Parts: sequence; structure tokens; C-alpha cells
Amino acid sequence: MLESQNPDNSNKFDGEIRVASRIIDYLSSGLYPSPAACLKELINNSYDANASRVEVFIKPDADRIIVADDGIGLNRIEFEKHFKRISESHKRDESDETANGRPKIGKIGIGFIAANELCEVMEIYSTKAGSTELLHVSLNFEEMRKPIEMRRRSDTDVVKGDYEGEILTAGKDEHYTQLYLKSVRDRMKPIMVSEAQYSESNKRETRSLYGLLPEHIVMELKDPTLNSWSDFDAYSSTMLGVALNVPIKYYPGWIPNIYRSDLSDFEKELADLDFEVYYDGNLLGKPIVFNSSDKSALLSRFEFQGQEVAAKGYFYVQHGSIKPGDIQGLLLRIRNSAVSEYDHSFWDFTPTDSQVIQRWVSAEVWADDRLEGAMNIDRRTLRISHPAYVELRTAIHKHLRAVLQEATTKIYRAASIERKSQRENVAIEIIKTVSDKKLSLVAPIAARNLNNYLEESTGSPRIRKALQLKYSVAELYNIIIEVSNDLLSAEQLEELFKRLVERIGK
Amino acid sequence: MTKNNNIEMIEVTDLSQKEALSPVDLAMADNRPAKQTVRNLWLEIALSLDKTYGNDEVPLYLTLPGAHALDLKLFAEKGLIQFTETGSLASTSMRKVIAIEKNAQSAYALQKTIPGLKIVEQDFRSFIVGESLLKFPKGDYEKYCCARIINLDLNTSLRHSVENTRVQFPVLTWVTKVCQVHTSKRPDEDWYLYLTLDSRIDWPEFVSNEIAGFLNDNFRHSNELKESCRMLYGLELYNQIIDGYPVNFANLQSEEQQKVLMLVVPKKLSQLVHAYGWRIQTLTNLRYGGQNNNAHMVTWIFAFKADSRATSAPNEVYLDCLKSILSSAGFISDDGKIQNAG
Repeated sequence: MLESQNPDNSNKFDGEIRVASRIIDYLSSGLYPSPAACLKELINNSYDANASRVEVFIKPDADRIIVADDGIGLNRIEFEKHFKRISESHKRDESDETANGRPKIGKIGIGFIAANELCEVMEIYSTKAGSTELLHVSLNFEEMRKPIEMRRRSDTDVVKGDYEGEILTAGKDEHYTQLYLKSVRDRMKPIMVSEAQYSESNKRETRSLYGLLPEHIVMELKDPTLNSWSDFDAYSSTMLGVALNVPIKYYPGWIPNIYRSDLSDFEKELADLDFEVYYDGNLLGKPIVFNSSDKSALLSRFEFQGQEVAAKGYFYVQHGSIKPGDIQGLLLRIRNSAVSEYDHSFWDFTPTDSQVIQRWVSAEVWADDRLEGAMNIDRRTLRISHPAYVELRTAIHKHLRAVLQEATTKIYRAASIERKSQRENVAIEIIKTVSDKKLSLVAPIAARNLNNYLEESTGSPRIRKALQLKYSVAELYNIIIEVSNDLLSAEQLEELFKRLVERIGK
Repeated sequence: MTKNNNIEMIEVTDLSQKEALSPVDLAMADNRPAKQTVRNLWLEIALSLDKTYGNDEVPLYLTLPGAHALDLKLFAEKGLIQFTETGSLASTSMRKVIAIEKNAQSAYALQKTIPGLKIVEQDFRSFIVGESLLKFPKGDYEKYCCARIINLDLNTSLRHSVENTRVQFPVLTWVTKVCQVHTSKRPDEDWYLYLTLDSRIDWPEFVSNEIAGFLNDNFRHSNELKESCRMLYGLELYNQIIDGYPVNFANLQSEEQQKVLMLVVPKKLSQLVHAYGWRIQTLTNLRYGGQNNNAHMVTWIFAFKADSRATSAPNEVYLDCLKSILSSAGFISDDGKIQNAG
């Protein structure tokens, strides 16, 4: 970084950021696939700065975005050290944990660069507790994107700084960092604020989560008609994408009560992080909410200690596809931050005869730091040849296989039995009604016997099975002839079949 | 930092922000009864306009609310703008009110107070593209400029500038430019200007004398105005102006400076804008402040009425403008009560 000090005013400074070429390559090709991915990087930076509260302001038009936290802040020396060469970040130099024991998410310090994808200019205001210095820096991404040779006159003569800074005054007890993303790129704005849906295929009225209390967001996410987050407007989809990725708490009532105690340690670990994100005034929770009764679901804990990696998590299975589909599959978290979104294929799990049931599963797995080595710079993809990845993938597939088997027995078959039982009960009710209303009028004893027979059927699988049999008309005639032949006279038979033909032919 | 969903309970600002706020914000945070009276006057007009405000393309209200947004909070309290259950601005109200706030940290404080509020992060001068009468706001800013109410709650004095030996008042030039935008985009739609200024006058003597000449010149057109001015200014100042003696408004007492502006600003505005098709009706012309270290202030509500005589008989329009200037003059005491002229 080339720095200069304004001779007229010692509070002002500027300089150039030299970014490693590989980062520039990534930047030019677009490191982040969506605004949500960019925003979560900035929020995770706040988390690493030990913030307990982050506020994001997007609405009404994303013309300017604010990400503000109450973290430890940044001073000029730290800013310059951090930005000297972005890819050689010093984030974990002193410790890989924050002051209150959070494992730091960022590693190579490209979080701030995520803003580059969203805007042309970013202003930073930051101050640290115990200091009256308020750092104010304006970063010019537009300038940074130019080739280095275009930015210089000579080796030392910087044409225009990538950033300009000044030191202002703040209260001694204050500590915060505020990012102002300005000149937001036009193509990003509709994705972040549009009240239209992502998907044109859904013709329903657009739904939005803007301005809803957490309990109402949960209700929306539990709505059985919700197929995908793209049923919401683009604003809400982006908001949910952000919420999925950052280390925030689960919403109350996110999982059927019966399983809460099984996952209380996960809930507690997240709560202990003491990290809240407000999105246009809306307190975010993890958008993982399951809509199922206790009876038709199962939960399986995942614990794995391997040679290369350790991990823990849960596999939740419910009867029927997980809705919305965005939370179906496997979500990997490292240091509490999600790596990309849910992977519907469970890391290329081989299709089995349980393929349908696979769509009933939603899993979250927290891997230890050893998997970080497998993570590519985009924090979205993993190197599939990395030993930690290979080992964990095998363990996950093994566990998934067992879970699917259990689900087949406990949920799929149980549901099938339940459905059969319901059909039998319906059949019994129909016969009872006919017996009571019609047969009992002409043959009360016969009606009583029939009712007794039906009562007995409760304990007889054979009879219950028989009650569900379906017959064709021909088979029906055959049965009637078989039974009545021995009981009725020829005249009675004649009359019976006359009426039967008339009745069936109606 | 705590968040309360009840808009009434939201703290004006948290302490962490306070030192970063501009003096204007701090002054506006002071919820004095006199200022509250002014806000109630603003509200009254806004409520009446709201009845006919539908899905207009232009905002109902463009304001410089400061970090505390006390005007918007009052509007919210009276149902003029709606909020969501988490306390952010409802989508239906997003296009209705627009705020202007240059200071980034004040804009953040304002955004915290009202999430979802559109904030133009410029000062009004940049918003209106300076004093040049050749450059105007474009796109969305042009729409915002056509708001049915524009509230320039400036808390600065009426500063002057000299362009090619001509004395100008940038604030009044901005209003003229707003008028021009309205003329070009919504020539038939009446609109309102709320203008508040610190009444300190620090003009050099030549500016004072030019203004005195401007007042004197207008007295010839309107006896009614002349008489009202005599009542308002008192004989000594009045005679000084009418007899053409040198005047230095900067040396006057604060209250007298307030009274000078109560006449100068509406008259000057009337002169500047009547040619663009607007007849100004001065609905309120009030001075307040001056006690307990509060600045002396002057505040006006102007109705800009489309008047087709502007091209055929501009002088008639101008004279009509003058009629209402001092009939609405008054004083707001520190307890918030409005008293008539003087």
C-alpha cells in the first residue's frame, strides 16, 4: 500500500491498495453469486469484530446500503495493515478467536471486498473503545478495478488513491464500524429490494417478509403452500439468503417441540454467540423452520470423529418433501457460517430406492476447522479431493443411508399403515351406517350380528384386510349368487336379481 | 443499542451517535413547545393534502428532518404515514415521504429511527444542483422536487452572495428552482413550502441598503403593506427605510432582525417566482425563539397557487402575493402559543 499524508492537514491520508493478482482475477469474474452472499460477508466481518448487533439498511431502494455494528472497531493502523495486501490478511494473526471466544470466520480478509460487488464506493466510519479517533475512509472500488499501470504515473506516483481517509473525533467509550455502500450497482438493486418475485412461474400474489415480527415470519415459513423462497418477493428472498448464512439464532418454534431437547446444545451454542442481525429493523433468525407434526417426523443426531475431520449435526426427516425446498438437503457450517446453501444432492449421494425420501430430509452439519483447508476462496465450494472432505462425505453418506432406512421404516411404512388403518375405519363406518339405518329396520337381529362382527374385526387383521378389498361388478354378482343360491327359493332369486340388475344399472 | 417496535418509544438517538450529529440535528432534537407549534402547523396542511393524495407519482412531503425526524414522528402519530409491525416504514408510505440528509452518520441515525425511509444523502443545495438556473434535478430527484409539500427547515441564516454585482440569496434561488421544476412538470398543481431560517442577519451594509431600497420600492405598490410594515417595524426603522437613509440590518436587535426577514423573505420570493406562474399566499409568517439560549428563528408556510395571469399580467399576480404577507404575521411564545403580529 502506498500511503501519503496531506501536508496541510495531518488528519487526512490516502493510499493505494495492492491486491494479490488471484483476488483481482476473482473480483473481475465475480466472486459472489448474489447480493445475499456479499451482504453475509460484511455481516460475518462484524461477527469477527465481536459485534453483538448488526444493523443492515436496504429499503426502500438500495440506493445506499448501511451495515453498522457495535464491534471493536478499526483504527487507522489496523485499517492500513489489513488492506496492505488484502489476501494476506492478518485477521487471525493474534488469535483465531474473538475477545469473547467466537471462532473467527474470516481468514484471508476479503470480506470487505464483497462490497465491491455491490457498489462503486464504500465509506467506513470506525472507532475503538478507549480512543477518541474516528476513522473515516472512503474506498473507491471503481478505481481499484483499473489495471495497476493505469493508476500510476511512475513507480511511486499514485495518480489517484484507492482510498482517502481522515481522522475525526468520537466519544472515548464508543466502539463501532459503519459501512456505507454508495453508488450501488443498478443490476443489484432489484435483487435486493424488488417487490416482484424471482420466479415468474408463480402466479400467486407476491408475499413479503418486510416489516414482519419474528413470529409472523415463522408463520409464513411454515405455510404449507410455500414451495420456495422465490414465492416471496426478491427483497425477502435476499433477506432469507443472508439469514441462512450468518451465525444467528434459530427462530422460536423452528422444530417440533419433541426434538428441541435433542438439539438444545446447538441452540445454546448459537445463543451463546450473542449475535443479532437486524435487517431494515427486522430481527433475523435462521430461516430453517420445519412444518410437521411430531408424529410424522424423526430426528437423528450426527456425530463424527475422523482422522481428518470431526463434525456434528442433525438430520431431520419428515413425511413428505421438505418445504420450502430451499432448506432441503445438506447445509455445511464451518465456524458457524454456512458454506453456500443447502446441497440438495447431499454431496452427490448415490441415488437409491429411497430417492423420494431423500427429499424429506434437511440436515445441518458443523465441521471443525480442518475442513477449512478444503474450502475454496469463495467460501462456497469445497475441493472434493481434500482428505477432510472425502472423509466427511463418506461419513455423511453412511449416516444418511441409515437415516433413510429408519425413515423408510418409521415414517414411510408407518404412514402407509396409518393410511390403511384409516381406510379400514372408513369402510367399517359405512357398513355400520347402512346396518343401522336400513338393515335394522327389516332384520334387527341380522343388523346386530353384523355390528358384532365389525366390532370383532378390530382385533382381526384378516377381517380388516378383507374390508378394504375392492370388487368388480362381475365379482360382486358371483358372490351374491354364491351366497343366495343356498338360501333363497327360485322365485326369490328371480326377484332379487331383477332388482339387483335394476339397482346396479342405475 | 436497543430496538423498540413502538415508534413513539424509539429513542431519538442513542448516545453512541450523539457526538457525530451536526449542531442542526442537536438543535432540532430539542422538542421545544414553540417548535412543536410549528410542526403542528405543518401537520395541519399535510393532513388536508393527504385527503386528496392518492397514488401520486410525486411525494406528498419532502423534508430535511435531521436525525430525529420529529416532524415525521408527529406525522406518524397522526396517521399520515404508516409503519409495519417492526416499526419500519410501510411500503405504502415509502414514496409518500422523502428525507434529505447530507451527513452520513446522521442519515444512519435517521434510518435507524425510521427504517425504510428514503433518504437522499446530499444537502439541499446539491439536491437542487446549486444556484445555476441552467441545471436542475433529474430522474427521481426531479420527482422528489415536485413534492406537494417541501419543508426547508434550514436552521441557517439568510446568507447572501454576489453574482456579477447582483446580490442573491442562495436559499431563495433554490426555491425559485423548485418553482421552475414545478412549472415544467406540474404547472397546474398547487404546492406548499415550509421555510424556516435562523433570523440572524450578517449582511454587509451595501446588501442592507439594497434590501431597504427593495422594500421601499414595493411600498409604492401597496399601501396596505406599507401600513403593516410600519406597525411591524416601528416608526424609527420604518422611517429610515421610507426616507432612503442608509440602513444596516446587521446592527439591529435580534427581534428586529426577525421582523425584517418576515417581510423581506416573502416579498423577495414573490418577486422571484411570480413570473413562473405562481401566486404565493403567505399562510403563516411567524417568529419564535430567543430565550433560554435558543436561536431567533423565523418560519413561514407558503402556498404556491397556479395562476394563469402570470404571463398576461404578472404585476397583478405580484401585488396579490404582497397582500397576504403580513396579514399572517405573528409570534410564537416560548410556551408555544401563537400571538398576532409584532
